[in-house]
Amino acid sequence: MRTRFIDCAFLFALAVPIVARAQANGRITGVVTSDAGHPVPRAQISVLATQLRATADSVGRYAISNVPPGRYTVRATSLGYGPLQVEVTVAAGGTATADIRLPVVAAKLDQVVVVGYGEQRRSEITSAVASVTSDEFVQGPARDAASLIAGKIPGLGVTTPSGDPRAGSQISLRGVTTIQGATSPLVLIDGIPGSLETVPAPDIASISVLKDGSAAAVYGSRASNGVLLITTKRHQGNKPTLRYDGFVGQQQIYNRPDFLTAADYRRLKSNGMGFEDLGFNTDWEAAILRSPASQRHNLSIGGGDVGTNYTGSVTYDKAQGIFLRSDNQEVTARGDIRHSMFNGKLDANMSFLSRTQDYFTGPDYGWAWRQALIRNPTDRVSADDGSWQERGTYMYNNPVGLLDEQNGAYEGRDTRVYGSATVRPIESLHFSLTGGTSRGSFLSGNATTFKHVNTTLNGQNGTAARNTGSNVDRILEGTGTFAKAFGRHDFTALAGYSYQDFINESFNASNFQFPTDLFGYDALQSGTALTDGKASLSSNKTGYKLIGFFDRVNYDWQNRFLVMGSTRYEGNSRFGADHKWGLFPALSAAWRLSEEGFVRRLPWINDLKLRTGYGVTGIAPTSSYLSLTSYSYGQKFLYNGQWVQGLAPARNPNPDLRWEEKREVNTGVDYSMFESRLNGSVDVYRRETRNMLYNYSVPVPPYLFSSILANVGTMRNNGIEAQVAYDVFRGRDLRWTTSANWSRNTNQLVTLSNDTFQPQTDCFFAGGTGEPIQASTHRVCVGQPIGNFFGWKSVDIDTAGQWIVLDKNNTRIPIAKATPDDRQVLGNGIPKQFAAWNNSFRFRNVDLDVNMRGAFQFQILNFQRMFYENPKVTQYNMLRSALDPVYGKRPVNYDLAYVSYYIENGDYWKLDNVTLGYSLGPALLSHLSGSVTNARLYVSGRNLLTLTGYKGMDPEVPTDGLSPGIDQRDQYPTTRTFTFGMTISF
Amino acid sequence: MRQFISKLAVAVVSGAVLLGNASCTDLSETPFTEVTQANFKPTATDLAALIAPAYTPLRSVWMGWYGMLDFQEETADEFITPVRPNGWYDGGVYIRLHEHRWDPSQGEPNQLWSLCYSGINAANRVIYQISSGVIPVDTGTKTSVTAELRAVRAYYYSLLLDNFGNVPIVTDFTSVDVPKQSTRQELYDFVVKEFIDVTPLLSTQTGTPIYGRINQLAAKGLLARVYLNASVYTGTPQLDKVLTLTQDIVGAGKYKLDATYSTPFARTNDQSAEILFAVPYDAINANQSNFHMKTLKPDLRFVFNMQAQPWGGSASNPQFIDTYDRDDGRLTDTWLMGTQRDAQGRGYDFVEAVPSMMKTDFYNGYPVKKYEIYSGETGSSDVDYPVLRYSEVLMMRAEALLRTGQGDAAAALVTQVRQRAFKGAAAAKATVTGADLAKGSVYNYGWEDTDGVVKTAAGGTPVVNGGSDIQFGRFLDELGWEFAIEGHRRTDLIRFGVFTSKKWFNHAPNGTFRTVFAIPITAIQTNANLKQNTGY
Repeated sequence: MRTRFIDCAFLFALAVPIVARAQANGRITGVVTSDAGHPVPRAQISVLATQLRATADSVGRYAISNVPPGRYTVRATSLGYGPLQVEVTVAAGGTATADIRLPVVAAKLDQVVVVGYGEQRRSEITSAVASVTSDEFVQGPARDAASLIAGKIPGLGVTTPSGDPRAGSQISLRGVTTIQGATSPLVLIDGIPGSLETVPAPDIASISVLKDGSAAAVYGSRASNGVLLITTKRHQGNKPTLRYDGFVGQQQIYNRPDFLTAADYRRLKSNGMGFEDLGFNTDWEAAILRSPASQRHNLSIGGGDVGTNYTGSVTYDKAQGIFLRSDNQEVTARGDIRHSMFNGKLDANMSFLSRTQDYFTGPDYGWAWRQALIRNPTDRVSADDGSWQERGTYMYNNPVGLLDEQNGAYEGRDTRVYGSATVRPIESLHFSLTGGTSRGSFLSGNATTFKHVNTTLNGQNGTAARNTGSNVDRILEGTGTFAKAFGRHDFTALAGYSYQDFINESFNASNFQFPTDLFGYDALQSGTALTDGKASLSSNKTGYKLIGFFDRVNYDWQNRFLVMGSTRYEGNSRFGADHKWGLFPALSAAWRLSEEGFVRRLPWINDLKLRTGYGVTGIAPTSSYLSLTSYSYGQKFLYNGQWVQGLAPARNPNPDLRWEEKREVNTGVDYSMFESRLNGSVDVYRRETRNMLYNYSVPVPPYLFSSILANVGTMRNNGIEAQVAYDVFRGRDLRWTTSANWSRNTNQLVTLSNDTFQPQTDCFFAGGTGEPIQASTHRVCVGQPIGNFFGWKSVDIDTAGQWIVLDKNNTRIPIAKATPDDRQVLGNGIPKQFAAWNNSFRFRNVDLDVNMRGAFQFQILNFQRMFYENPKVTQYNMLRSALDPVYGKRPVNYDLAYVSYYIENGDYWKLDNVTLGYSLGPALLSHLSGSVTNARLYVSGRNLLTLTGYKGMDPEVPTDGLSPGIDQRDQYPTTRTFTFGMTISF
Repeated sequence: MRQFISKLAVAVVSGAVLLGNASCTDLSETPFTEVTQANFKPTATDLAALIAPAYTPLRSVWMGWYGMLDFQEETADEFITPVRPNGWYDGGVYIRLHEHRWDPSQGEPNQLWSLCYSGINAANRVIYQISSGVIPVDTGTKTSVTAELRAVRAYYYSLLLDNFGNVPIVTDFTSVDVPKQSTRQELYDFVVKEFIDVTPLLSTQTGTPIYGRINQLAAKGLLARVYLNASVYTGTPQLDKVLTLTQDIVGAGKYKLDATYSTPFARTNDQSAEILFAVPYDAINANQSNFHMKTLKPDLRFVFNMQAQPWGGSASNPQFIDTYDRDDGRLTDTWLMGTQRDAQGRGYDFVEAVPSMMKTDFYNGYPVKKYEIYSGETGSSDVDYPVLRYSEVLMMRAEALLRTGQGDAAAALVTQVRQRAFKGAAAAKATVTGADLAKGSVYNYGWEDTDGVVKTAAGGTPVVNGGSDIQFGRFLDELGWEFAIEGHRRTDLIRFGVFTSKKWFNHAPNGTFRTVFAIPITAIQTNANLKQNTGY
């Protein structure tokens, strides 16, 4: 593999002729920034009284060569900014610097947006691309890149259903498009694949989201779930800078479920309830919860000049969880060097990132949380002999013991090293070559002491495990871009090749029966279970490759008619021999009505653009080797008194396995009016996934297994998205921008069959309650949306406390007589509508950001109520509401069951974030120290308030996959966070 | 411009080289942890590994989760899985078995179906690989291994014959056609023919070398079992063939009854003298046996010093317990009764009474202790499942004798089996006569009401001896005591006409078509050739 990789790199290098010739003459260089210090890309630079012109690049840099010595006035203009000019003197053969800070007039309109393999001005974009810059990010501490843009982009759902400091955000874009394929979006960091957690939030300059198929198709098979393009902050040369960005914060559980106390137990026991009074008083939730602190410190430096400059940053991020010992710590160091030579004919860039992550592996916190909820409040934490008080009840452990007697550490390390070179042999042509690797590895350990239930109850005498894994992703990409204007015609053409390979390896060992618990997991060999064959030892390795050829052409006629077409021809090793390659085309066009005379006569319209596009993207299966006929060693077999390894087929091979294709049509309008006070866009789309990957049920025999991953089925999502932003005040002292967005999506599984596979049924089940109820929660059916809850519809309760449910003829029957045939659709777990309202106020030095968002028209299956709102189960604690009458009649007197009574409307409206900031004014700054350019203090609150009728802890539950809308009983509770932060730039 | 064109040319040519270089577009894949046809050339030494998948599904078939020990018993009159304080409602799945309300979605029979075909597929595959030369073996091995695989396959088909009746017969691994359904008669004929054809070719070895696999006598015993039920499968009894085959086994003198009833169910039952064919389990190497977890209650972990905490659900039906002679050693060898507590007092005082399927405490009904429970036992048991015991050979022979009018000869065999169950002062009770066996059953069939009284229905009038009308009912009782919780009961009740005609515990008859299960919904949905069994 390695040699092939180098081969390809070498060949590509041949394809890029390097031509450069140094020239001797005067130059003017500089950086165009906003008055707030953010780069202004694509600003027009002119040297007054000469023909010298330049356009700043994406980070505001510009350079003008061939300047005769003399004194000049350099003027910079950019849409949305007021023009500004500065004086500069050019010496013979020297380089003069002219940095220009433009005052903001109306942002947005001419913002440069990063699109796939390049960037475009917003006005030139022909497809649905949303972009959020750091000014507009959700203020306050961010869990990952996605939480910076939560509620900012219509159609992009960002949820944080877990309070676990190790958990990330969940993203969904324009509905569920796949059943069995990957569901995570493609995240590119400065063009290189990564993840939402790769770059610390303070280092991010902007995030673009390629929402529709025509924008994303150039990324082919990885793009169906959307593409997030993260651009990192980079120093612009000249003056060295130093910036500190940090916060400290505190969290609390967002909502504590209301379980019975010891006093309740005693009162109810005296009323005849079958509780056991053990004579103590314990608040089990409080025994494992805490108010944790978190902090983050980010220090970044930048320097150099226009020719060579560097950016570096170090981020320390430490978050504690609300459960004792739960934590997460990340240290990220980044460096980026840009180098420009030969009058800009050669640009080179080297970047590296090193990230370590450490956390306490600890127990399964969801399980410990369940134990705290259900444990008898009249019990005690410790027994008289100092051991943890345990009881024999089924699935019942002391939660404090679980947390205290387990030790473990996880250390993850990621290293990303990338380099790129761009040559511009002539003005209109450039070639880029990017290559590099991302290596991740982790080592974790986990051990329980002799006081843990593994030993006290299960007699394992200490358990310990070590796990390690590594993944290496390598990438090589080359592109050539040709851009030229012929009169009124402006062309840009791009072609490229991309090679990526991925290797994943893992090693796991566990042991128990230790002579001592002193060593933890540091001496696995001292246990005996592994050599007795009772503990496990395993290793694994998988890999795959992805190769693509792509091209794209943009045509622009007078900035009035815009057309973009692209194709990607991509191959993935995971497919059948004859189906490795797929073609992913896209075509989109836009008409800028605002450039037409009839609209120009309406001076209040600043910009109006109609656009439409069609694009095909793909999804590949998440596992390798599915097309192969192969055997694996598995179950052992007693042969002649010896256990020998059986060799059995690994799977039903599907040599016809091929791409899942998503075809998407998107039509939209972008508008900007009233001196660009009012901006926004509306998009309507239809996305249809064909040849959808599905684990198809097949007859055994002739098949070896009862299911095969095959390309069957079609899924459709239709939706509409709208965004509007309005500058209510634009004064020098007072500014208020308010923006709102809304989206609506409907989903339908259209078919689940093709020529080869014709199912006899149109439905399959998904999700599960787990024990002791043991029922599936959802059903997926052709002709219906994904996410339907499916079970018995309860309508009443009889005098004996038994559920009355509807049978298939909608007749009321006791639940004991209900059959699986009587189940029906009880709701849907995917919100149909999302909305958000963001406000940004600024009064002199004070700023206030308020973000609100909500999800509507969906249901949640409340597991907590389903399991703990039943007074019949008295060996575990229960919710106080268990004693409330059901349907206004009486409490339940029936075993735990999955009925519609526990399905609730999940609609919510959240006050997601409020941040109040104060920036030190220039006078104060100069008084403090002349070198401070910017200083801001802020306080921020997250997840402050939720308006909802939902009775569970938090209606922001996972809404992805085939069983959305489940509020698990072991859910790590969400938190409310308050932080105090500070930013200082020098 | 010329310069530009020349550069463009270089780029195009280089691009072509890039494409032409296969390594830059090569997407073939080689798994790191699996063997493929390309990298694996099997030899005779791989034979054990290759035939393994034909046998290993049997482990889940018998003592695994949703295994035959569950549903062959829960559908019958000895064993129930009522709701417990820790659950066991599970969406009504066990109650449906008890009440004979299962449908084509019922998990337990559906799992049996897929496990059988998984084993059949594996047998077909290896038979094909041997016959086509993919696995090179000498002629002798080819004959014996093929015969053994056909015998295993016939055994799977005999399970399908008993549980589903009308199922597809597939013997060709290379066929890609969706299989056609056969009738129960065709399936019966196939199973009988296969066993007859391969028996002479099978190994005559006994003991360790063949333990866990089918030898000649095991094949004869399994065929005898098919013949014994022939009247159910085809309407035509084949009792003379049962007599011939059982005589062959008895006459061979290779197996005998163990001295004690518990020996064939001990942790070391691979040493038992009476097991003709077993499914070997091992807590480490073959860890599917979790029946003990399903029947033992959570706190029994302390009583038996187990490493795992059992889940505790299933227990005895009180009516069946009432049928035992209290001196029958098999009562206490099979059921965990009375006070079971550790030194600290943790445990239960088990009672026979069970209020109802819907409400019980942990101590209601006796858990099964027949399969040895041992100190340090984990979630998977070491005890092997005896598919065919010598006592069954004797009892099959006895039943054939009884049904062909040779009651006293039958009684002699039954007495032989009973002798180890009645010890000391009760030894005389071991002897039964032909007249005894001709009597009805002592099982008091009827609805067991919440007050513990057997009635005609819930709240109805009490019933006394609701089994007296069963022909050879006493012999059925003998089968119940000897083979309790061995997964035979459903088949036996069907053969004696009880399965769909009698009430027991909270069960009332619910259709005579329930002598076979429904063809699984998943099979119906994936094979349009399949017609659902009558009644479903």
